[in-house]
Amino acid sequence: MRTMRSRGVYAVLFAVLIAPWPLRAQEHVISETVPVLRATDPVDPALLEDADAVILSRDTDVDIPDDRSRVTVQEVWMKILTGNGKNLYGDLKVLFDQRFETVEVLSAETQTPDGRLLPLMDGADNEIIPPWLMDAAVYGAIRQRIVSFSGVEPGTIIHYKVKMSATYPADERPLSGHHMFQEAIPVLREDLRIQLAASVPFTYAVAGKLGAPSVSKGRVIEYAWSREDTAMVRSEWGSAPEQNGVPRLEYSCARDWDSAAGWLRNRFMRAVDEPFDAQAMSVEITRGCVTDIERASAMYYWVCDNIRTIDIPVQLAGYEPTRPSVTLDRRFGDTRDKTVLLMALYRAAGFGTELVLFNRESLIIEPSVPSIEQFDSTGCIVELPAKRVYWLDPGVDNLPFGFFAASAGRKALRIGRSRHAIETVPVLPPEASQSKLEMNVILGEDGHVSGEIDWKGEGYFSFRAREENRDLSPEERYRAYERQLVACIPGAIIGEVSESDWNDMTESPHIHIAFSGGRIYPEMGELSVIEIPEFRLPFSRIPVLTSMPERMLPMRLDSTARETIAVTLALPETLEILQTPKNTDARFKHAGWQIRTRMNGNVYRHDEMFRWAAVDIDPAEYREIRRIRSESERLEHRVILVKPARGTK
Amino acid sequence: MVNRAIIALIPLILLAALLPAGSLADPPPWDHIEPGSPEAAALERSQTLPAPLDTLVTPDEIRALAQTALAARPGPDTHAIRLLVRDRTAFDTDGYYHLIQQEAVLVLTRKGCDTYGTVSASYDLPYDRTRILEAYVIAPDGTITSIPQEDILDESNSEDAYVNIFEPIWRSKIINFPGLEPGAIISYTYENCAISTRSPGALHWGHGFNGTDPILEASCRLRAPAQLNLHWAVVNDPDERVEFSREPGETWTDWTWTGRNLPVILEEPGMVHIEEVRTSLLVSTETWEEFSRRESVLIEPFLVPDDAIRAKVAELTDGLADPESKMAALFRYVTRSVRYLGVTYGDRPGVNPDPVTRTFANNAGVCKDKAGLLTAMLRIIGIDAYYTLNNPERRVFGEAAVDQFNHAIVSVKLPGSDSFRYLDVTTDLEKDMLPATSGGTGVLRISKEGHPFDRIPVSPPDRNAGTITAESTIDAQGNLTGTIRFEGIGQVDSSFRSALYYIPEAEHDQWFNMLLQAVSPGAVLDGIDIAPESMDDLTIPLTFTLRYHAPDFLVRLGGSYLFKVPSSRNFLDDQFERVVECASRSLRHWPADLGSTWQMTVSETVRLPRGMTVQSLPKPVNVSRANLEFSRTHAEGPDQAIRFEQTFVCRSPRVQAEEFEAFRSAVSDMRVEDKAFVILQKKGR
Repeated sequence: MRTMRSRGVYAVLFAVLIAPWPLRAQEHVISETVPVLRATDPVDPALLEDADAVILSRDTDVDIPDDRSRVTVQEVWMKILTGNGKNLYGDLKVLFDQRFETVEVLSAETQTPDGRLLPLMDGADNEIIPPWLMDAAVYGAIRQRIVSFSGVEPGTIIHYKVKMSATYPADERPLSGHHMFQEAIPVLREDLRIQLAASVPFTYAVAGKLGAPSVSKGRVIEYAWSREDTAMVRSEWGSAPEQNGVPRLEYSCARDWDSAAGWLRNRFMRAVDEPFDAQAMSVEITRGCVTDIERASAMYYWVCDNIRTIDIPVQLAGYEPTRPSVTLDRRFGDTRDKTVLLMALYRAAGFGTELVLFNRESLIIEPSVPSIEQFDSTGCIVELPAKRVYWLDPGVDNLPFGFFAASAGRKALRIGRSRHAIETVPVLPPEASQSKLEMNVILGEDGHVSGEIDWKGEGYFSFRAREENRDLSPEERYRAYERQLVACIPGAIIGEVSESDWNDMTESPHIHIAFSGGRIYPEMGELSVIEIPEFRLPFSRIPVLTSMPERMLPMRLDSTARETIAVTLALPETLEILQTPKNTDARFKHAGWQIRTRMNGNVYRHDEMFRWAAVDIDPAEYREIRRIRSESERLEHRVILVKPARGTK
Repeated sequence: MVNRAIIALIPLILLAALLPAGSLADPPPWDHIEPGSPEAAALERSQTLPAPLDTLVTPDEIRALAQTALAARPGPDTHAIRLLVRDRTAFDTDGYYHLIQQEAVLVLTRKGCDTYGTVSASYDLPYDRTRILEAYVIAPDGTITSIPQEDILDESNSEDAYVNIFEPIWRSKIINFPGLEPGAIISYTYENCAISTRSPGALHWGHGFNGTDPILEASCRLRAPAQLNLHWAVVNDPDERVEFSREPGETWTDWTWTGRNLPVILEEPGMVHIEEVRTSLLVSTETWEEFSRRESVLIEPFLVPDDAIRAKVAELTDGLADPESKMAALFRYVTRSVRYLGVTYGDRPGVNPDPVTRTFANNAGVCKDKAGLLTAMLRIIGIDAYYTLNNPERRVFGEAAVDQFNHAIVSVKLPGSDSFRYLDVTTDLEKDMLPATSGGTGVLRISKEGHPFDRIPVSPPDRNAGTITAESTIDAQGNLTGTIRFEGIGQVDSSFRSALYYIPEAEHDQWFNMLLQAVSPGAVLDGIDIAPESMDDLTIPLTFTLRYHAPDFLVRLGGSYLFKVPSSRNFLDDQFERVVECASRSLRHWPADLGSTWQMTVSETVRLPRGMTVQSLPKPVNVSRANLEFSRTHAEGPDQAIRFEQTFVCRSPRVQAEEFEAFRSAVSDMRVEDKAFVILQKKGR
């Protein structure tokens, strides 16, 4: 089952991609003793505050001759500062593609706090499949070289020098790469040199606070960057990946996007055009469909549901998709394979379709650099008659047709048969993702409650609900609902449950739950306070983290959305209602919240709505979002004050 | 991690291939075997052991089984049905074995396709080899698609890399079944032969008869030398549904256990480890004492210290008078200085500890290596210490001496003591030197005398106790400022210490701000003081003090002002949340695992704004049943303050199914009282 990928995987991926960049074939003398760099030089303590380790020095040499090879040598001295630092930084991990790349560890040793020099121990240099790619072993060219250092503890200095040599066949993609100049630990000194044969095209861009390189030109051109005292990245929960805002270099040896996109186009369209019986298949799948959108969505859902997803980023899997006929035989495929199969079906059905490359982790793409490695996933666009265009992501299970959640608002590369463009992925309006919860509660004279809950979700909420529920058995879902119910009504028991067919992607999911038992307020004296119960499903609200008073980094939401919660609470005649919540409104640029309440006899009605109209929230807007969110959580809006009615004991 | 449970797991690993027409003809070659090597000779030896195959099940017979399964109308909770799981193994007195296993699975849903679409059989280069004899898919229309050998992958099994174990010797054969859709059947047979043994001179074996998917038939036949008597037990079989037969012969005796249609285990969140409730066979050729003695011969040679280790012991214990302090000093050294890291080394990799001299020189090792080093160091200062096997993940069975352990710790008996203490050196963060969650788990001390199976006692709640002391003031505008001081011992200490260790220091304020939202939306952390400075400094108890403020803390409702005492929100009580989560179900079939016993005592003084009086206080609460105790009082003081006291005690780390109803109602009563408010009014009303 595919879900939005955790950032953690990409933190590792991008961390180790720092190492294997092309290098200049230059001899480095390896000293018998490891120099203790800047160990006694004054370093600003603020720089090292909270750091688990510090990179004392990192030198990276990238050599790109004109023969499609690339050699990278990187040499690092790092000091471990804390106990957790030894766990996090005691191993060197280098990802490589064994089809094209080899890794040599030129040196690796440890200097202990008391000055001893320790070599690697026996068995410390290993090569494995990265554990997060074990399920994708069938796409298996990626390996991880792991070198484990001895004697690692606070005060240890680790030193290593690694060389990655790569030779790419003539028909392989143009060389490209990136380098991050800031990471989770401080870097005291960093030098990066990229040396190219003059005949090699080279485009680069720098993001964040990174100055221009020094450039020397001749038969060989060298670009060099140096930095000192780079502070560590301080992440904020709920923010977009740290790369956004981190000083970063993107580069490419493609002449331009024409050549990079053209290279991709050849491969993908070749697969799309494979002569298999797409026509018959599309007819079979769309049997009974009347409109174009029904046909297009039927084909989309067929590919999503019938081809098991193998989760591997496209930079690791490679850019040669599997032919549709093979994917159909196998009934499994990664993002490339599913995209190509869907495009082939659309083509056979006469729909216009284009390839899309995007970054599922919402990386900010550098459009001036023709590097396809910035993208980690593929999808497609289908154009129906009357110019209705839909962005589709068949590589993620359970996404409704036309709901392209990943990288909304970010750049993507769109490739047609004769054109390409960097475009912004549309941000859908909040009304495309709606969550509607209705709860009817009857409070008995004995203080116990009964009632019903109805929930329906569209867009993002449909996706999330299916992601949670679709592969669970009824019993498993029942138990999950029970947990949520008891959280708002202690002691309640679920009665009847009815749900839509989780496998019918044409229908928005809905859930109906009947319940009884449980109490919503304790017995008190003259006065009682009743908290209005709010049943929450894991997928009925957009997660918006507003616990921090301030943010320095932008916050990224999963989607725009509109959430409505309606609660009707029928109170017994034995209670007199003294006070209920008031109507409230709060709005800001990209968020809104509203409560409307009314009493009808002893029946209280509470309607609440949240509207989130953007996915990227800058720090200034965040303060307002936080204010709205905090206000909405206040108990004033959620409690009723009651006392026994006259004549009641 | 000591990888000792592989033998017990092999028969439980999903893997079967079906051979055409009942023949084993034309098997593929073995991978990673060099002709003429000692491994090749060992493999040949194992292969000649006569695995007790009966007639292999044909595709037609498998389809018939599937029809039988479907005729029983599996419910909507069934994602797949395992039609048969057959383990056929012959072994000799040295522990070499020859296994052939068949399995067939009918997948019924998308989830079933996801679960069974890729299957793998693990093997370990130093110990065994596996080959897939055949694998295929029977489509719903009856078409059979065989998986060619070239599509069966052989890859390193790198799951342990997540815990810093990088050993490419653990491998898997991986089959991706193509064309899988609901209604299809996958079928496979594999052969597994020993090339050396983790337990020289003994055999430990296991087999499961039920699981989370229905199994029509699961059977295990062991062919043992006729003179051998097996120690065996079937656990979790109260109705004795597993049938047993024994067929003695002159050279070999066949022992067969068969389970049919045993109850499915529907997993419940928070339940004990599934292996604790599965109906399982345990078979061994030795007793626990024999196991202990045999391992001692193999392990003790690696526990011999050198002068460098002796010098370090002397340095660490210099000036310390009593054995307890010395033991603590050595424990702290091994936990903090020896990094948790696993690489392949030496004989019996994954089982033997590395020589303590290597672990010490490299400051690196996994549990077995660190436990070995600490054992050696403790013996240098005259403490009675034993290298000890353990499984912290579940309670293993003592009915038969089968190696169900995956971890190594140290047992010690201090001078003057009758009982053993246990030390776990794999975590940097246990001030008590053993996680409280290890209570109840099984251990085997390795010694030349031979020790019996034993269990670690469950620590009582007052050994896993936290204290929260708080003060807060509400001003005339209804804003609150407060201070919360927290301290804990045992599991309470360990729980927070771990959180503060693994959450980067720069993010601690984000974490505490998030927790404080339970006090009041918009609450803001003003400052934290945390001790110790470094969480892995186990000489200093964990304490922290939060300073915070909550704007608009009072809830205005007409002429009344409501609030809940901040520390009554239980946002610093991990176990309370775990208990609430456990009680969220209306029914449990299986025991629930709460981790450990627990105790939290809370007191807070809330100063009220001038000009306000108490209109109403929550009534006192006293709940005591099903090993839970909860009491709470709000009392009005003479000094314009409210005094809040709460105690929560969880006396058992387990909730048995039969006591769950009482447990649930106790938690429900506690949770309802959470909804109570202090109600104030302005003076003069």
